[in-house]
Amino acid sequence: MGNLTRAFVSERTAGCIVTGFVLALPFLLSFNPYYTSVFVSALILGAVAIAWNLLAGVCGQVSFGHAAFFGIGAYTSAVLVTKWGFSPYLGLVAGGVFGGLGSLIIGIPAFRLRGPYFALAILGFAEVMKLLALNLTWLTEGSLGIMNIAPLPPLEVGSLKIDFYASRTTNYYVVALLMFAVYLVVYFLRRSNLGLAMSAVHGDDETAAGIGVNVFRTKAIALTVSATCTGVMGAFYAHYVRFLSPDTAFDGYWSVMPIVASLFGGMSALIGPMAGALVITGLDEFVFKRFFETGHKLFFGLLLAVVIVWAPTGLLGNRVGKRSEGDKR
Amino acid sequence: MKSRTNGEGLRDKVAGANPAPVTIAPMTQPATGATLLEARDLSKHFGGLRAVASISFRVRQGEIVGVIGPNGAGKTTLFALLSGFLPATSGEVLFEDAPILGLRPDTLCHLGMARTFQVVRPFPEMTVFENVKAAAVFGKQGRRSNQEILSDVEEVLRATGLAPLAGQHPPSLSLPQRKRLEVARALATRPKLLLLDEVLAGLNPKEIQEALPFIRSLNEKHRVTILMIEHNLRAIMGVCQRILVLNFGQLIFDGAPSDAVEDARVIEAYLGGQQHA
Repeated sequence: MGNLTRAFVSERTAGCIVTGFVLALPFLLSFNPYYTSVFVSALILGAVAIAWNLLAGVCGQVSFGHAAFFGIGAYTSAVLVTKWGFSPYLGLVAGGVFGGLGSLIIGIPAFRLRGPYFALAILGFAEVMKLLALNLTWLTEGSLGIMNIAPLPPLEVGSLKIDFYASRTTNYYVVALLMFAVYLVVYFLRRSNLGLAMSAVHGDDETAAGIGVNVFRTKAIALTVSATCTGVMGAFYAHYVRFLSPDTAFDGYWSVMPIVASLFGGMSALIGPMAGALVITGLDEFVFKRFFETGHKLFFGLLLAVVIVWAPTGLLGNRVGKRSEGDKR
Repeated sequence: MKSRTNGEGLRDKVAGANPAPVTIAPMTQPATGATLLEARDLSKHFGGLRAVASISFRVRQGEIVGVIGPNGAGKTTLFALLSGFLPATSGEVLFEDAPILGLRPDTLCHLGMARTFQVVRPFPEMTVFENVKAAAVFGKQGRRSNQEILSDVEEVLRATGLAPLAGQHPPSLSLPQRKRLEVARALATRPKLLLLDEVLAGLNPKEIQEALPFIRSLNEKHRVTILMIEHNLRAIMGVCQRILVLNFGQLIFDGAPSDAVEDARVIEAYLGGQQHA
């Protein structure tokens, strides 16, 4: 009552609306392969943004280097599949595992740092990973990149054969499924006691420690889960694009755009980053590119400035609320 | 007012600090419990500044001990050392006869020591209920059922009078309510020892009047030992059985409140020496 931060829509409703929109989108685009592929990228970005926001929006630790975990996931799966003949499905899992392990390598030292210093440490880690991918040529083929990565093999469900090689639409629905899985992980994590600890660390990490929260462990779990989800998306990307080079897998795009999408969509809503990714992709594709064929990406910067100045909580910021305990009494 | 050799000056100050009368029942029950907390030669230096200079004292189970001293005396630094937020330069701190220096704040919390902050620090994005629940969930080690946790939270909210505000977010609370939340959160960790850092600061005399019986009830009903920093001398005189007086990082008095106002060093610390008067 009289609470300014009172939600208009619950997180669950917002999640359902956005997911429904994602499922309907190929129909709205009348299965145009070009637009479908554009939105496959948008969903990959959205899933990474949701994962990024678990660390930043829920636990309060901003990372400038999620490209590191994306690239690790992509390279792990690509190398396992092309060099050692693993199944690409196993590659997705391995991509996630290695993304998570990579996050521990940097997380353990970096969590001694706070705020911007932590963010920069992760940025540095992403650069180191990119250089490793460039120079470990026996493993990664260096700057030549890994070519002809196997696509996800067809799935046969009864008489129905789902082919990921031929159809963009099937790829679209796989990535939609992955995105939804990432969302569910983040959703249930925040509702758990661990999520409560993350919110406490976000609020004030000294006070959180004072009431018995193991701050370091809480941050490390948030980072590892976030990086694992990002790694899975990187692995999917490898099998979707079927070509990897250090410049594409560890591209700064995967560090910067999740932040842009999250700020745009709203960091306080878990589904916000996904909505942000869809909206900026839509704007870019249907508005900016139409009028400014070269340099349309400049508008992301402009858009971001507009959002930060006029709507710092993002599109869904104040309209989607977390389920607040104690609210119903 | 020039002559301050007999302690009248400080008595005046205590009596005249607040125009509104604060009636305080005298504390009679002496604490005879075992030593809960003991500091031995505890020091903290910031470069050349000795913020806390070899302080030794004990807090016994069931006591309410006040810590007073002029601004910059080292009270908050002392709290930070005891609760693990700052590393000590030298010395020892024992909690239930076990050394605790160097332990992290969350470990200390699990052992049974909780603190509040001078500047209230609620988690702003969480409701009052969630703020307290977080403390109930993480304050003690070992898994407890959701049922136990919820009933703990309910009890703490009721004891602190915050039950009607459970669904509010901290920014919409008044200062006294936020101070209560700060205490509620510390209380929900089920502490044996509660360190209160100026919980009465910023409250008006009426609010203080309401807060004092509450602090006393924590001690009597919940069996919590309390070490509290306070600027409001009248409040601390009434509620504490014993006070520690700090000045320039040194412990200059340890004893009954009524003796403190007679003590020459305390008077000098608060009102300046005779030669300056």
